[in-house]
Amino acid sequence: MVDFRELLTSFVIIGLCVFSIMAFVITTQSQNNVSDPVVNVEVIGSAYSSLNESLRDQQSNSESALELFQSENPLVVFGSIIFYSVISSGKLFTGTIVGIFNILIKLPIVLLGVDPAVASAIILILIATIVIGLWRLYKVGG
Amino acid sequence: MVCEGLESLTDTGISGILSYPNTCFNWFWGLIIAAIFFVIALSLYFRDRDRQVNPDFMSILGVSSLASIMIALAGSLLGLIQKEVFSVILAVGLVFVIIWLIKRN
Repeated sequence: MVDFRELLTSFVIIGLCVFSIMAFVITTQSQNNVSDPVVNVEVIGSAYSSLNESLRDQQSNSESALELFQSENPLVVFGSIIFYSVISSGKLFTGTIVGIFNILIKLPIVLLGVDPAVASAIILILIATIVIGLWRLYKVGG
Repeated sequence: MVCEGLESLTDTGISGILSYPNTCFNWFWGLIIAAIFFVIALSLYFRDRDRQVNPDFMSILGVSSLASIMIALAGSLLGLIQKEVFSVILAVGLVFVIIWLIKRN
């Protein structure tokens, strides 16, 4: 099973790459005065603005996670150190992964007519991977 | 289905002539771009095979998708590709790019 940190990094990078491609396309079309730009397609326009907001929110999320981590006094038990704030951070970052996935999966569902059952199956695998990755992180510290 | 004849062409410039097939079939240039996608993908695949390197199929599809998106963008700037066609090309291309990035990471 994939490491939680790698999964989080992958999804953020994927979100950034998709956002960059969409931004390039939308900006190029607007600068060249295209009469009917692709941003007018509802699902693409909403995916672009949702990704923009989601990626901007990550700074405040990660700062919240850092503050929680810094404000906690670790508990030393049986030779290991316990940080409860890691659990809260895990929850925050899980929201990031699932949020980015929900934005990206709308494109094939709406534009390509992919059955929502396929999206459900993929999100099942994703959530199982996240839960097991988080459990390993809490249990063995990464 | 009867398509309009050339006499209905109002814009006789290059972009007008090139966008003439769209009057009958919206997906004309979309299919051309799909063909370009397959040509690029197969070229990369056989190039890797000739170099006796194991071809990484997802990487080939990802790179071909990026090229197709850029060609479709150029087409949309010339008015050859409508937003409906471009949005489907963009969605398919992004799916391949996402799978490629997931596999790489």
